[in-house]
Amino acid sequence: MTAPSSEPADWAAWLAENGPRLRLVARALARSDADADDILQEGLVRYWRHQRHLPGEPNALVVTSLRRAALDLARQSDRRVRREQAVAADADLVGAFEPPTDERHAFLAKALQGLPEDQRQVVVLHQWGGLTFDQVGEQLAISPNTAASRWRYALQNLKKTLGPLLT
Amino acid sequence: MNDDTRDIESALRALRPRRLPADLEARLTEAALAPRRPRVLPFVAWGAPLAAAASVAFLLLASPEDVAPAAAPAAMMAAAAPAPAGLSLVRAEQAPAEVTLLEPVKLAEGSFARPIRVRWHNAATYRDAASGAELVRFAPHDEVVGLVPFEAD
Repeated sequence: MTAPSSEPADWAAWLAENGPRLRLVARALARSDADADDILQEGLVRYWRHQRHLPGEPNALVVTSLRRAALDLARQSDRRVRREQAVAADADLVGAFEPPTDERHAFLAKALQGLPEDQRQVVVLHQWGGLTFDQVGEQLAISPNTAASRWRYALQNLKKTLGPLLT
Repeated sequence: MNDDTRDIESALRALRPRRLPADLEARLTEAALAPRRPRVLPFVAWGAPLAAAASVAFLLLASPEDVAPAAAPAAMMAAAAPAPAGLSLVRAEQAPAEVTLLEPVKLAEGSFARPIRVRWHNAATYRDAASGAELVRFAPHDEVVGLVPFEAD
């Protein structure tokens, strides 16, 4: 991802290019679909309006902005109550993908949803967030090695689930 | 890439995030492109009126020649300090605060912010009734009072 220019007109192009994958990232950081879209709005708007010219890698900045929005949301007590009530329902990742044309992809999306949260977050941040393992580690407060390990475990789990379909 | 999981990685790459729903896209666009309200910390928003009010109160309480420094509010008179022996306070002034945003700094949690520097001065004038001589006590202040989240433009 390149840093967007300062022209407001570029917002639409930037959003079209990055919005879908960043919504997936927001869903990986949220507990519900509604929270995910609130996180997406807060994080993207904060980045666009206040941070896009800051020094640093733009993609890492915008993901950091999303994570901060997720943390802010988690701190709100009324949200916390609602989240606890809906704790069993993580944000839906399956619906955040284009409808698969291939049966294997449909199963893969479901298997992704079924991964442990720590592995699922690493997969989404690395694959669609576009972060390196170093950057994933920074986002999740874990070491780069741990991030890479979780990625490998996640792939092995997905392979175990989908194995027969992939051959 | 591990050969054992290459097929899974390839399949993951084939999963395409869904395009944003039109209503969400409109909501994001409205929020991102809405005219900005100036972002001002509470200190700055309230600081100027409070400083003006404090100055007026200080002047009202301290201007009469027969008003002793101790008669003014303690916070105000802290700047003026007790009158030197044989002198009485005849005038006290507080200049309007000059507020400056300094260069951005990086905070520990990774975000950027601009420190707020506030400069002002208090001046208290004392007079010796016998000789008419005046003493001006000038007290400059220069403080960093807070941080404003950094805006790039």
